[in-house]
Amino acid sequence: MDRIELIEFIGDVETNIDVLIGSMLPSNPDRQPFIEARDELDTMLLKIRHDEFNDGTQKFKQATAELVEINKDLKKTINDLTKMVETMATITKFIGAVDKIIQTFIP
Amino acid sequence: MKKILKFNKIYSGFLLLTIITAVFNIGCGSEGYKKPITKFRDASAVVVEGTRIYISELNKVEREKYIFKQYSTRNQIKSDEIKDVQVFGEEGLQARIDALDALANYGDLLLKLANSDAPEKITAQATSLKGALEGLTGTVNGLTGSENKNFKDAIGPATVILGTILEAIAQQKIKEGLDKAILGAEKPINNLIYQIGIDLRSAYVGKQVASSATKRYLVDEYNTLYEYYDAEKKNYDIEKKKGDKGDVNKLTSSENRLISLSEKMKVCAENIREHENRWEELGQANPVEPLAAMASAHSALINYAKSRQKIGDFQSMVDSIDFFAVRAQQFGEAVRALSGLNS
Repeated sequence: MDRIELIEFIGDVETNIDVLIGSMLPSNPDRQPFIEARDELDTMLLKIRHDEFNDGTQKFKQATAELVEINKDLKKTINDLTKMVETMATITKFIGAVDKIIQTFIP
Repeated sequence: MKKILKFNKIYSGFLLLTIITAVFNIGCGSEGYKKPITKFRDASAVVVEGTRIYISELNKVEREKYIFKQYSTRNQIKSDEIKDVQVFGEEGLQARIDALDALANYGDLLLKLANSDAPEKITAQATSLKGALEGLTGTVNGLTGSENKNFKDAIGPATVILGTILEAIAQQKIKEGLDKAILGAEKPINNLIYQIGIDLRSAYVGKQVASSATKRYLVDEYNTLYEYYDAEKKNYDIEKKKGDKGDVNKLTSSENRLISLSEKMKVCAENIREHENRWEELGQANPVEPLAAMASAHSALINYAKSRQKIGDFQSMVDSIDFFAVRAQQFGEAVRALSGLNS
């Protein structure tokens, strides 16, 4: 995965989170952590889009491979409204991994 | 997405091959060869124009997403934050558009060379394009910010080689210009197109997530009204059950509120329906497929040139270009439909 593929990857995850949020009524308190997570991811996405960096290193490949693995877990639960706790935990993990990439490659 | 990368590597082949075509046509004037090349160039123009629209809309999309979000969450809109969410500054955006214009004009110039028995007639165009390139170089040199670094790295070598080629054409040293293009233009133009391609893909993601967010805000507006309606309906039912013992004024007020909410919900539902249709158009306007088709057409063109005009390769080239032309037309229509997505 290179930088632009990472951008596309995060964009897809954001879109999936939007679908999940839209499946809950606005008064549902469970929505809020997902909205905050989506916003956080959006800010990160904008930063990755805005700042160019060297994506040709082995370190970058390893970091993005970790994201792919987390996304596999996310896909297992994100469409199931009865597994929101698991989904939120995986999204948090995903955000942590994206943040690590930003900290490492866009100091 | 790998196909786009493939496209970027191959696109420069278009210009190179157009030059080769020029050599062939100036030499033998093959009419059969000119037709697919012209078709290819027209289809490329559509895809380049679609690319231009995407880049032009990039800042607009980011801006509107921010404004809509602030409205939806009833938060303050701050002018400095609007500026912060834009990916390219005004000059960075203009430089990318100018670079695309220059590439389109360069392709047009080379096509005229291929079709003209009197290439001296186009020296004025070459001189004009050379001036535009010099202006572009000046603009690019003034760009700052890390978001422009790769673009600047890519455009420098491309403008240098294009300037050299155009200078030769302007001085009517056609063969010298063509030789320089064949020998030196492939890689720098390749890199420039590659970088613009990256910007395009980034723009597409920006559009995708902005559209997704807008869709969620619209659904939220509807569902908020639905929740009010649901609560009001319960009050109404309770009041109605009281019959003669109930308060007529309360019942009438409740009924009016239900009618008003229902009308507002109808408007929201219509907005969602409209946005869903446009969401589908977003999928249609994905640039990956037309660019992949362009890459295949380029490959076929290059193979034909390398094969020294074998009939089998000629047919393969014509088929690829026909497919590309159809895909480019669809893409052009989708981009036009999409341009109103966030308006």
